[in-house]
Amino acid sequence: MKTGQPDLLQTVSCHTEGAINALALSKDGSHVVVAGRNVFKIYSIEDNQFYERNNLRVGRHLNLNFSASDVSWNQVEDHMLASAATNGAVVIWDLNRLSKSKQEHVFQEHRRTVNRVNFHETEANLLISGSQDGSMKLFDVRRRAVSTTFSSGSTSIRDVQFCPANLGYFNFGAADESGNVQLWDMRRPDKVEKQLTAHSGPVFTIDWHPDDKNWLGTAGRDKMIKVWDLQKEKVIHLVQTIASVAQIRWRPSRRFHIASCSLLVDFSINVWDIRRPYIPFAAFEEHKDVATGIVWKKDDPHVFFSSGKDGFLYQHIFHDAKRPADHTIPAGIDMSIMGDIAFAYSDKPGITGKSKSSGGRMSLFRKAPDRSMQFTQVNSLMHMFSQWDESVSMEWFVTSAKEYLLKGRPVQELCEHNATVAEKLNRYQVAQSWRLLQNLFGTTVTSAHPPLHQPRTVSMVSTISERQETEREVEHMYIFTRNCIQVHGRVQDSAFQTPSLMAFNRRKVDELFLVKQSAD
Amino acid sequence: MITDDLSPKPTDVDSLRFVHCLTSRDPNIRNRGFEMITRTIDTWLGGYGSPPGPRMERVNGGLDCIALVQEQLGDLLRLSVQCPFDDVREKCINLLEDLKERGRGLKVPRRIGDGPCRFIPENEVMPVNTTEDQTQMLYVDAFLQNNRLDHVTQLVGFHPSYLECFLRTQQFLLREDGPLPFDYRHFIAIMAAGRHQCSYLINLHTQEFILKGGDPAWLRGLNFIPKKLRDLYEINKLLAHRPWLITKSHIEKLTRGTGKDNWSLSELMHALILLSHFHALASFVYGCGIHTEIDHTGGHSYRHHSTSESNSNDTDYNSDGSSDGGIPTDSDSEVGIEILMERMRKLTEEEEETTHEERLKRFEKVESQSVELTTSSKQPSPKADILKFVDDSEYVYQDFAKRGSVSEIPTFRAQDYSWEDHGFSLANRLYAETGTLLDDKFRMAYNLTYYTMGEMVNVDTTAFRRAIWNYIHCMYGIRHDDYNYGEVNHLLERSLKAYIKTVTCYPERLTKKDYDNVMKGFKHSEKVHVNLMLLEARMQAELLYALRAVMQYMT
Repeated sequence: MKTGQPDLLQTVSCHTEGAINALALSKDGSHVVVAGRNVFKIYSIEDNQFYERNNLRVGRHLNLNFSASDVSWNQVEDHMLASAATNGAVVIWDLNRLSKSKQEHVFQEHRRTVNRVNFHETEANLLISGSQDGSMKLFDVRRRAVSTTFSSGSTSIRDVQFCPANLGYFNFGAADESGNVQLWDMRRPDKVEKQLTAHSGPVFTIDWHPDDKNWLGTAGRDKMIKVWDLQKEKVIHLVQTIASVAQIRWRPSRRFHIASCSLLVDFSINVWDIRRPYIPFAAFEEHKDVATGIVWKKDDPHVFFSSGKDGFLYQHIFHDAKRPADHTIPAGIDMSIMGDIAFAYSDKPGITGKSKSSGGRMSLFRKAPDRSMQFTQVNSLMHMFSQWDESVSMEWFVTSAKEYLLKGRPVQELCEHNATVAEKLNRYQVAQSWRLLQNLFGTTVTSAHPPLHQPRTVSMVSTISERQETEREVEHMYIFTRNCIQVHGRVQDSAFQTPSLMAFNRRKVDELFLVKQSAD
Repeated sequence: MITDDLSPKPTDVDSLRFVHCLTSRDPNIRNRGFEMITRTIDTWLGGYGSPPGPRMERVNGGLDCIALVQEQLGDLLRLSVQCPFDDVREKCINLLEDLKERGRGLKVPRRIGDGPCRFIPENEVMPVNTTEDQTQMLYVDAFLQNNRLDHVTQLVGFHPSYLECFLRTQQFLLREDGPLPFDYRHFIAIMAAGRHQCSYLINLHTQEFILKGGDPAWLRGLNFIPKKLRDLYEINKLLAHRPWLITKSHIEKLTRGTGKDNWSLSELMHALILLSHFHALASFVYGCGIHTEIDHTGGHSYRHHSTSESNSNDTDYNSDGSSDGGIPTDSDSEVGIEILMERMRKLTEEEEETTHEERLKRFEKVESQSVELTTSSKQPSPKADILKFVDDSEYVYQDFAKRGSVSEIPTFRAQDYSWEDHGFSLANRLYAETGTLLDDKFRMAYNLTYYTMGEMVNVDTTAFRRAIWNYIHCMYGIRHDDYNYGEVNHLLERSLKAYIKTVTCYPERLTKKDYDNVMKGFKHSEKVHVNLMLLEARMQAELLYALRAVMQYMT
């Protein structure tokens, strides 16, 4: 642990003159490589400053092999790097080469963009790649040949990561575009060992837990970070973020902490305590465009490096992190569909942790678990108010829907019944409308123009083979529609055309009659 | 829009809704609905309950009842042909026959054209009462959603799994919860279709616009619409023809004004998706020669059948005869399917080593070399009732390669801003669910294959499909790093490239001859398939530029 002189470390940055897609750290953590479409450089970190040590993007033919979507640093032989190119190449770089160009070998094995390259932690010659073409290839770097190809069918591979060597020497995990996470044994290229349907939509990133071999973090376009128990094949923790997750990395020596950055919109790097998934434990908001890579300093939970599309390379110090929870007001209010209002607040207003977060860096970290305890200690009180005021409650709507009758009885009776229902609910205008409708039918059918309508009714009914209740209603509706035509020149609304349509439009009936009533 | 006195255009909601009571899955309801229609027509024609008197047309509040009936005949004619329900078609046919016999000054229309599109004989299109269950189900769905089974839907019926995505997306964009009011959505569709003078879509959405309670005044043209919609026009124009010119300042102009004419980002997202959807759909409409809907002007006629009229009334299109200059007439040199397959096989076998420079050159070559149909410079002259929705109609696609200063507008790298990673998330963020729907649709269009080519079966068509997709992106300056653009020249014949380019960029110039001359040996369903890919690839290309600009604005 490099925590001997922690206070000397500072958050520092440097601009690399090009959007960065990925970064990787050398074995001893003294150098960092950044790679992107137009940048490929190595920096050393000394005395809180980045120094450019090497520019690998040199040579006469700066072709697409120099455009990297990912980069990996060999953790055994410190002079070896690998990069994944957007044109499908996997490129090996040797820093010991004497010539200016450090490009050692180009594998043209993939047919589509390579999304990830990853060196084995302890086997210097093993490199794995995952590509858009749906295959993963295990390279023997020394022999300059592909030793094994793993295929997931045609779905693109977005991430592939070796399991930490002490936990599973031969294992690696892969994430594909259709939401699956696959676990492979490199000795068994014919068959995937385990497959989890992990996300809806592409999985962009996976990360093995450094200490627990059963834990695997996965995240993707569905904005979720999931922690899986691989033994039980179950999600044990779930963090819902606000944007597609581009990368996740477990924090060393902190079992429940994981860092994440977003693919778009959200520029901050968040460190989550997976047990408290609703608010980031810490946030680093230095980048001016999305962060593209996170890498923790080996075994040091206080320092990590990040790269961004803004072209900046950062060394982040945990001390400088923002703690979003400190700025949150612990109170909430919400309203249910029934009109109930719930209100929750902290019983000790004013103590939100801000005052406790002062103090030295070490004390801060000793307190880290405490602080998450503190949230639970804040006893929040919740009140619920039931609200039965007409203005808020929609109860009348439900009751009306339940009690209104639209068929089964003569129309006059139906109208009277519905008017009573509306009255009971204190909706007098609506009740009036029903009565109006009742009168409309009552007068037209019985008294106003009996000679005109009576024969018509008979003739119509006789054309219909079955004299059923519903048919009568059609008839009534029809007459009514006619009246509308006579009064207004047109059918007012298609809602009247058939009883069934009218049934769908109860409220519409109410409203339209209100309108008519006021017009009259 | 009244251009023909014989076919009064129903312009009010009641009239348009008259036949909507037939839109039901339940045959009893349809039955009753039809009773309603018959009775109402009876009343209109015959007065009430008594034998028709000499001047009965003018009873019922002084309305011209004959005109009321006349308005409905187009719809009834359409239903007699384009309806997935046998009972409705049958009844409509009988009713029309009946009306014809009654006379009474009614002019009973007759359908023009045969089948949903000009390029494919009617008997080769999926019939409206097809026995393919999935397609039939979708036809019914479409009919219930839209109150019509439109020609586009019927034609896409070749590819039910795609049709499903397509209908779901279109329904969502136009009729479900979203940031924009319904009348806006349809007017935006009209504006988008106007860029290609696509009267088919304009008619369709004019009608929908009225149904959704839109202000009829807007239909008088762009000068009568709210400023907010008017502001969108610039982006509409760029998006349709030169999407690479869209920058974040365009977005800013729309969203960062003051007052009520501002667009929220969600509204704008909705509008952008609608615009690109209808630009691309216009390509498809022309690419397949979709016929005017039967109930729309130009879809039916009152005159007796005469041979000369069969083409001329299809107002959207170039008349066929005059287009000798169409596709480069080396059509006899077009290779057959077997050779194409041979080439694809070769591609997979010999992975040739190519240097970066070569690849770049190839991209540029494909980009600049793209051929177009030199339609003897005879462009269809758009009509006034379309032009009122169009501003700057001279503005058309220009080759990306000739875009002027190369340094200012670099090629768009698909690897740096892709639909799957970035576009999707942004779309979903600003307009929930659209991302998912579009994603399904793009993926469906890109991956759809039946492993056939013409008469051949078990063909891996991946290379061919990818070439088409990437060629379209190439025309819009979108470059896929991991694609060898040599394949485009290898697999796509000059004539096919010309066809693709015309349909994508200048769809209004396409003629039947062009359609017939490409992809010889392909089945019609496969040609429709290619057209669907054009639709989706174009839509994606437009969206990529638009969404990138939105993102740059947001961040």
